[in-house]
Amino acid sequence: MSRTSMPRPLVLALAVWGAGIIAGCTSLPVSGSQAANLSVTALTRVAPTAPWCVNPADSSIAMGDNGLQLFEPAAGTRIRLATPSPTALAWSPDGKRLAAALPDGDSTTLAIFSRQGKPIAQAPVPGRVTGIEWMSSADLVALGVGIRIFSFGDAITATLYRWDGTSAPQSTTLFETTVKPLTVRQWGERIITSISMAISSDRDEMLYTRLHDPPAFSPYLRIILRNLESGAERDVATTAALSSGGGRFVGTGDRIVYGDGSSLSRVMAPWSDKVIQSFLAPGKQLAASPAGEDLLLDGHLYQGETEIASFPPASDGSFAPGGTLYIRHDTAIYRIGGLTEAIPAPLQPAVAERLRTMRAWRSEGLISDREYRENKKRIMEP
Amino acid sequence: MTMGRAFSVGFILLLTALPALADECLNCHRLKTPAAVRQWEESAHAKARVGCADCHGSDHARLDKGEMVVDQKVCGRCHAKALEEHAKSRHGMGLHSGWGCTRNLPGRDQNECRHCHEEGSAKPLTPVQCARFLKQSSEMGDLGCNRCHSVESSCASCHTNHGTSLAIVRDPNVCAACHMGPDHPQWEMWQTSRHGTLFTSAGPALGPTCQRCHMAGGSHNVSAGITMNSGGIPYPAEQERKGREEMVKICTDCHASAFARKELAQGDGIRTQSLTILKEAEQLIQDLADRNMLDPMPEKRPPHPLSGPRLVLDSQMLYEDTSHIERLFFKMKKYDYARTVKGAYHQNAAYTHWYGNAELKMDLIDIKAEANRLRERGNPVAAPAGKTVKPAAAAEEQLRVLKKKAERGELSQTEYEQEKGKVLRELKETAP
Repeated sequence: MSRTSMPRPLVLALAVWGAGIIAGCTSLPVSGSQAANLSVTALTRVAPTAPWCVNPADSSIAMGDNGLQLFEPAAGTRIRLATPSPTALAWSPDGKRLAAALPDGDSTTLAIFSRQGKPIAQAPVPGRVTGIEWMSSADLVALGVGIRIFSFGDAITATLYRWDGTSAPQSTTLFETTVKPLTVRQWGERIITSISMAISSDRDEMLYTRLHDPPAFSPYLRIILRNLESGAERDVATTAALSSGGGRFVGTGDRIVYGDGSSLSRVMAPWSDKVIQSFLAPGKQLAASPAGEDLLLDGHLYQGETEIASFPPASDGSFAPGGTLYIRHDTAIYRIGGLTEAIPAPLQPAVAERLRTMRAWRSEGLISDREYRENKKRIMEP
Repeated sequence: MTMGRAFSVGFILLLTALPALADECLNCHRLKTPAAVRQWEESAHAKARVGCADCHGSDHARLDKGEMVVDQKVCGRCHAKALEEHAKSRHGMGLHSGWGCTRNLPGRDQNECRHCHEEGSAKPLTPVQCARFLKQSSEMGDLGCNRCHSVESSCASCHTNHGTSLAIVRDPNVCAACHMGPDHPQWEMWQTSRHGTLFTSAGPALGPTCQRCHMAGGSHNVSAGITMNSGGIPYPAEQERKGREEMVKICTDCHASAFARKELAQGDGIRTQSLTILKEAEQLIQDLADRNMLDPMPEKRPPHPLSGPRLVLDSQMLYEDTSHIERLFFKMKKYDYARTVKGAYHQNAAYTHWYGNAELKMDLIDIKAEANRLRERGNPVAAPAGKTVKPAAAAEEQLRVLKKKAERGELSQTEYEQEKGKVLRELKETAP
């Protein structure tokens, strides 16, 4: 019997069973209107809260699990690249390099590995790195968080490091704040991990969370959009709780999604402050597909405004080009097949460069968002 | 002796002791400062039995340290009305020669609260500070600035220290000590105007003095009737209207109201025309700064004492540590614009035209020529010598210039969007 002719519920049941075998005792419950159209494949084991990421070129998976591991799905093999478990991971856009943040006492080593796992470069930076992203196939940015402990609270410094893999990382302070002792006791480690980052599909803009802990109020996060070319920033949203998963770019970067950490997630146009969609999900775990057609919000998988499937709420996911979804549930990573979306044709380098320049102008207020969109349309016209 | 008689005798003894206190000072000061004593003896103060200690106090140790300054507060204890009028005037407010502008003089602690706050209060002393004063040496600041600006707190600036003769302060010469020179030659303007020449030839009955118009009725408010600030910028409409009515009332002591209004309106017209010329020059310089073309740019010269490394063309502009074109603008604004406008309001034809208007217009020619030179020299930041500017970089520079113009209000929102549209369309023409 061919796979296509097998009844879908049976395929799903077998997949879930298979996943249970590969991942130990775990399995991935799936429900929802189109759950039957999705295939679930258990891939490998992973530490429950460690970072992981899927290579956009060949679907190999880098992950934290008793050190830094590289999983080859075709062969089903794993190799260990480093002893420390990473705090952040990112494959370069072409999938040829892996960036990792490896903790080393009070500091972090930024490391670059080849596709095969060979170390290429490394550089130390102070503090704990909570996010790492590639700006191109050569340059990366990392978000470092430093803490100094005082009797009156903790002084937090968030720093953006920019590194080309050869010279020393260049640092820019994103913000400094002081956190009350009560907040430290209440939130603990989450204070650090709440300071997160995400990069746009064009890799010239980032979202990061800025922590605020005013004396008479509860701590909260602001979501800041920063243009990496100009350094100009825009305060785009406020979340009420540190449990928010921060923000992610949707599609080509003209939309973002963020959750308030308690009940509601929103898709908005950050340059016009217009809310486009709202979802009843706290947005603790967020992922958006590259073309922006699918959203995974706290385990709920949406196409447009329609929820098509549901996974356990704590599941965190990542979409690959073409729409394939990868989900980590408990201690295993699963591949969810059956989701497809068109992969946009790459822009000519000169056009991409012109748009990048215009986005930098938009960030500095030299042109308006409307002028950016109108001129983008003009430039993209054949 | 009854209780009442005892009090009376005591009181008489106390009164007779007061001259003795004055005598105590005079015994020495007749020898040490005889001129001061002589002036006091001839003054109204002596006749009114106001002795040395009444103004100076009796703590000789503090006197020697210079801590017992006889300032406006001391005089105001008796001359409350004069002090109140003075405080309302430009003499009493805004010049602020006091602590705020003297904090870098020798022997002063720059961190003292009283430099910026009223003593014993968190209330700011004044929002006014003086950048040009802060650039000076202590000696130049003391002599070149405070010698005139001390009028704010010192009645002696006009009245002298120990004399009280009204003849001194009713003579226009007393004003000449400060209101002369290249930046505000009001005394020369008056002296060579119809008012001043009549005063010289026919006396005060026909030739009105400075005091006659600016201290009408003996008021100490020298700013009554003024319709613009000291930089020649018109007051807000209501304040300007009130000032004009005050001045017309003064003029009508001698002139018909319609004549006075017409004369003053001519001054208004000249002020508006001159401000337009001034604004044109200012915008040229702003534009050059926007394009990084000033030589040197503000960030490459000693910082402005109040604004830091920024272009300053307002009343706090400097005549030192600037670019050449700013120095031309300083002369244009501080000297020639002031002479044109103040000359007009003082009805002095030569000052209005030749010392003012002609110079003002020739300044604009000089500034345009210098601006052309700087433009030809180019933007050393955006286009280093020998390198071609990329279309996107040129467009970005233009967009930055437009944004700054819009922020300064030189472009309306519509004009701003139209200009940006042009830049972006031109950029589109250059294939990406």
